[in-house]
Amino acid sequence: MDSVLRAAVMYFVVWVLFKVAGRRSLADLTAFDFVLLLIIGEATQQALLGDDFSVTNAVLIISTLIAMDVVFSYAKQRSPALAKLDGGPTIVVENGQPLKARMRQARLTEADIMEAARSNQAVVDMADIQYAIIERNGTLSIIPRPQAQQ
Amino acid sequence: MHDNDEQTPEYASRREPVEEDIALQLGTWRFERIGLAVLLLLILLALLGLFSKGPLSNANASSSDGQLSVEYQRFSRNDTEEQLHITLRAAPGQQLAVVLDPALLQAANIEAMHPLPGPSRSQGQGLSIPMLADPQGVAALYLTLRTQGIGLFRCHLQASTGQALTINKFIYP
Repeated sequence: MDSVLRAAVMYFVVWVLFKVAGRRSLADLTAFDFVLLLIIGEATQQALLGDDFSVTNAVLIISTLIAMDVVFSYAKQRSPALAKLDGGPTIVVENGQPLKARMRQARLTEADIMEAARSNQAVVDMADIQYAIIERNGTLSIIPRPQAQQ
Repeated sequence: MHDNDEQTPEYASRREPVEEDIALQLGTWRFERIGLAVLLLLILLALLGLFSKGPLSNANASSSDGQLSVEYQRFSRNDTEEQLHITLRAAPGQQLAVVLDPALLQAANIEAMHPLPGPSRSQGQGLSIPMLADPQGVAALYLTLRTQGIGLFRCHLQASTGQALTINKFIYP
């Protein structure tokens, strides 16, 4: 019984904590973010397993986590209110103009946007960006102005 | 602040090139800020010892005459090790005993006991541990406990010389 409860509680705790962290936080995985993620995994593992290292316990915990994830995605499909928890796309650059207040809220700098612009679209000038959009998964989509594409 | 004025054109929902719900997004950002404040508060409380081992958690209780005293953790976490230090004052060389009540034994397993006592015995559902006062009339007992319950425990300690103490322990899951 407690394996299922542990897994369910940890699922929600990790979910809430990553909501607090915001979607940008682990979107572009740097080496440091990767190590941080591993450490978080280690810390979570202790709480999940307790002192029970049996195969049965592992099977129960993995089953609970996967079942919760699947049920959650079904629920989001059925209920628009739940789907809203994932947020929506947000525009941060419009017609070459950075929307500074939005960027500040999203903890995003112009350097972050230009980095994405260079690596995804080979755009080097803010003025050549038609739109920059933070997607639901935290990545930055860059849409260059039509003339900049040639 | 101009920045937080949610009526500015910058915060109007765009329909092109994507359908935005800026009210939802502002709510999400607000949740992130509140969440961060909660996390910082949690860290502060943890540093202060609300979740065991810190100024809020380290506790010392004594009987009214000071003969029986105990150092313990007010807050503990389930399945962790901790120390309990019992001191009893009496006549030099006196044979003493301290009785731990069942609540304490339910809250924690005794993993180790120093000095090794003579044969201990049950008393009711509790445990009576013999102690011997040194030439200064002090008998000390160090217990290493491993917590095993969850919730609030009211634990009662009784010395053979009559003093009694009640300690409250809260064990986090």
